[in-house]
Amino acid sequence: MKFLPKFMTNKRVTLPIILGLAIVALIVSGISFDTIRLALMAGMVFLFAALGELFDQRAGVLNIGLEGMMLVGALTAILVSGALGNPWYGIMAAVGTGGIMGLIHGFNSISLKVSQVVSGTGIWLFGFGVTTYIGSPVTGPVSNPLTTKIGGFSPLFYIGLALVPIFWFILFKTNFGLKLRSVGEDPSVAEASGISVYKMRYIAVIVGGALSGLAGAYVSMVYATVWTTGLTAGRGFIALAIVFFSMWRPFVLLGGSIGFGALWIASLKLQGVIPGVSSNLLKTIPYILTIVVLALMSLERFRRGTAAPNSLAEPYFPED
Amino acid sequence: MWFELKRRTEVSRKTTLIMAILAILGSLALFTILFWYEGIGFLTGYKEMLTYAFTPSEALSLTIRRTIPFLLLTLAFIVPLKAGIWNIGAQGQFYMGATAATGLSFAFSNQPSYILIPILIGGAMIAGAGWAGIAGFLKGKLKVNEIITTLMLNWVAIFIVKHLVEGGPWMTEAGRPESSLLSPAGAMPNLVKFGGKVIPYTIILAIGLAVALFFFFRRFRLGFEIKTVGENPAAAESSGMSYAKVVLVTMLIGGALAGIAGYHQSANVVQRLRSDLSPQWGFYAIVIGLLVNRNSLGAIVGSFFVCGLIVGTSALQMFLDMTYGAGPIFIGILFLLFAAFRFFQNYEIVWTRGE
Repeated sequence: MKFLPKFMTNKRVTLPIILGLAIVALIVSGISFDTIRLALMAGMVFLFAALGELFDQRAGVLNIGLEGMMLVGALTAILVSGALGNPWYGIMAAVGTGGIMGLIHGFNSISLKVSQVVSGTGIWLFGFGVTTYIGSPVTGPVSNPLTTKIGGFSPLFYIGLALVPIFWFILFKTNFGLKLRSVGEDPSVAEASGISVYKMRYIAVIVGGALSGLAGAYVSMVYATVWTTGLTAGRGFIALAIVFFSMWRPFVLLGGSIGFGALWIASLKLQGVIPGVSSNLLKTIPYILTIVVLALMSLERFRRGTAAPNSLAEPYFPED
Repeated sequence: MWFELKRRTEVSRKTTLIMAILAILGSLALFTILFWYEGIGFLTGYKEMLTYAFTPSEALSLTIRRTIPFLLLTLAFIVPLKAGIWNIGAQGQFYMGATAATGLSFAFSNQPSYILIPILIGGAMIAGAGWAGIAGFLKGKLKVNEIITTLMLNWVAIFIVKHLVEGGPWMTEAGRPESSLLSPAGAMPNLVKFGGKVIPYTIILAIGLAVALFFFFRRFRLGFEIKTVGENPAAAESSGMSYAKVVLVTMLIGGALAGIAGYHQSANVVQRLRSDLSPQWGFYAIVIGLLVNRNSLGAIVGSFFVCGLIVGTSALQMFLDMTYGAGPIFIGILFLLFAAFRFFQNYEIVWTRGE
């Protein structure tokens, strides 16, 4: 990678790539306030889930079951808001069930020390199965979506934007954040300095799960306002990709979410407009980009400035 | 305390078997909640499931035929895991195999069977291996996390298939989201036909490969190297084995196996390329592979049995009016419960008298 100028390292690379692509995509698909609004709204889906996942991973817990948690959150929001008549109750319930899903993942991967990949895949397939089964009678438009708008955007949009600096502050400017990150870096050292690894990791997975639930609720109550089997359509995996893509930094993550949101919208808008451009092929871009960025990050030159938690995906055995 | 937990270093075959059986029984027990919820007597429910899936006059032939992709995908997961590599991408490798088989079938449609079948299988194997090889190369050479790359490659593969058959060059003229019919000459000849379904010779191929892999890991040097890398990468490297090579080879083998499954499903069963050829079977295979603890002979039994249970759940929808989604929820419960059971891979419970 010697041919790249020196300034093009780590986060200076990923953000321009994605934002450049997003801008090109938006321009080609006809830039307008509406397109940008749609892109921001689509990006918010990724943001909620990815922010939760970032929190998880900073504490050393990998959760590849995001998609399942999102599905459960999405369906919970529909059912509860339908039953209680207030969309906000639905959204709160989704946050709660997301937290419970996170707790299950935590129980498996922290207390039982099962491989986080196995537990995460289990969470995903369980979420998919349980929502397919319970959700099949409510397939169709959501009876009670959240239609409130402030300045053209849903209130949840502003909540999402506000969460980014909040998470950044918690992770990097508070004692709690320092503890959480040290658990993700080297749990045995953290434990030796008096931090409870289990407690920190449990907090992280529950918060992560709750945010995934919120992401799901955002999809079903605000963004799509319908229910179909597998509603989230792989967005959970894009969110997972964005976490790696962002190199575990909240503000890069915000940029990545909006960029991928723009690509998502462009892929829908461009379908049929330009011959030869396929919405489906455009949808592969986030996944391919993530692989490319991961490969680049593994090179020595790019490794500086990345912040991969050292003990990501490794169960912690206290007696070792 | 009445018991103590002891770290386990090795898992015996007996423990594996007990864990697998307990996980399946446990999830069947949890499944009873659904029967209760839907007002179905649980004995009726289980009887319906098992008789449908395993009776020759009913769906046994379907169970056997569907065991073929399940087994191949399970092997695709098992082989890299022997080297400690998590191939979560069998799903994508399956689709690349199916895509290659479809493309080659269109390109060589006027060839006779004895030429076309090897071309299709070979092409599917190369496509699947190539797809897995990307992740294998990145892992071996650059230590890029293979879990993430294989997951990402799954989605790239599925969108490529969607592109091809949903509005793309291979869509049927009728406008349905599927390719036109593949050349029948590319389908494997049929071994037997019963219960309304034919079972092609791919079953022999799949079982043969499972047996061959079993001996490969016992008798061959490369098999031994793979296992050593899986157990202790540092020691393997210091004794002269190449980590990068072993990782790449296991992923290539795994991808090729998943590719054959893609060939089977597209050229033999559905005879079209579709984006729903494998409804998440690549992930079901992970459950099976772990249930049998990476044993390729065990995979034959495991995939047949789990496949039967899933086929059985469709009987619940057909004959007992159960809500759609019984199959996915069953596999979900099984996986989640089994994930918890994996605890006993790390620990054993030692009963004490208590104090």
